[in-house]
Amino acid sequence: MKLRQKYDKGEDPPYPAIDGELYDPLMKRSMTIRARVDSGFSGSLLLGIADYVGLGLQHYEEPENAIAGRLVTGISVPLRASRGVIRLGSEHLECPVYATPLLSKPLLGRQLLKAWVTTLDGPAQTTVIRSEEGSTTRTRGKKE
Amino acid sequence: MATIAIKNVDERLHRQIKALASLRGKKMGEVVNEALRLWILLTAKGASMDDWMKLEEEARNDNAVYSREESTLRASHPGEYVALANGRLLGTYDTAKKAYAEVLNAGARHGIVTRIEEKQTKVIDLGWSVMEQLSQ
Repeated sequence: MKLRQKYDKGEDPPYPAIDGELYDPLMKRSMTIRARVDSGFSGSLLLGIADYVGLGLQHYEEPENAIAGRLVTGISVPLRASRGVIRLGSEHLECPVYATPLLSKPLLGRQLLKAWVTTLDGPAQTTVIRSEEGSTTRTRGKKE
Repeated sequence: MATIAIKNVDERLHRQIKALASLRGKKMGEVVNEALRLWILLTAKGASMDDWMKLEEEARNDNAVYSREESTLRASHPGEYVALANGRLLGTYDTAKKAYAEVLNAGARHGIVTRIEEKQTKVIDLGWSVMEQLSQ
């Protein structure tokens, strides 16, 4: 798989983003999300509550004592933790999905970034994502 | 209506609010209620905070049941998946998908599905983007 995606120009300077289709763990519901690539976020996907509840992910949560969020100031904040399946191009990957009311724009963090080779092409303002042969990415679709 | 005492309010801000409230013929309590509603609206980022609070309440009930049953489940059904919803244990299952389906069938607003095993709290670093979005 190899995807190229232009940076989101909603801010100045534009920021790298990845568009994907996010499914609930039973693959019954889905929504298209645009997530900011954020290597400072150690989780997989972080959603605001509107997207999280919109997809019904609150039905498949981990117990509250299993997960805690930590702000850069060191303060702990509660996080809702569920699961989902993200589709990028032809690849599907099961992953934890987190939610907090503090957020409006989804974040894609290191827990997912480790599954692909992600290159930020600054001059072209393009994010390039590719998976390598033999990667641990769980694939249900056909590879490019 | 609740009565609350608030410490460490910025003095200048307090004077400004009192002056504005007086000009508009409002009591301080009314202004504080307006400010709190606005803060919730901004913090919820477009979602219904009422729905979220109801969800939080159901989640609290489900988590209380899970905490109460956790050690028993670990002893009797290790490695299986447990499903909880509506403040009760729905059952244990050999796959997560069966447990997910059971929660959906229960028609609850919230559910817990987790593998029955000893768990340690996993800490997720949220990074700077969350702080940036908070300030927007």
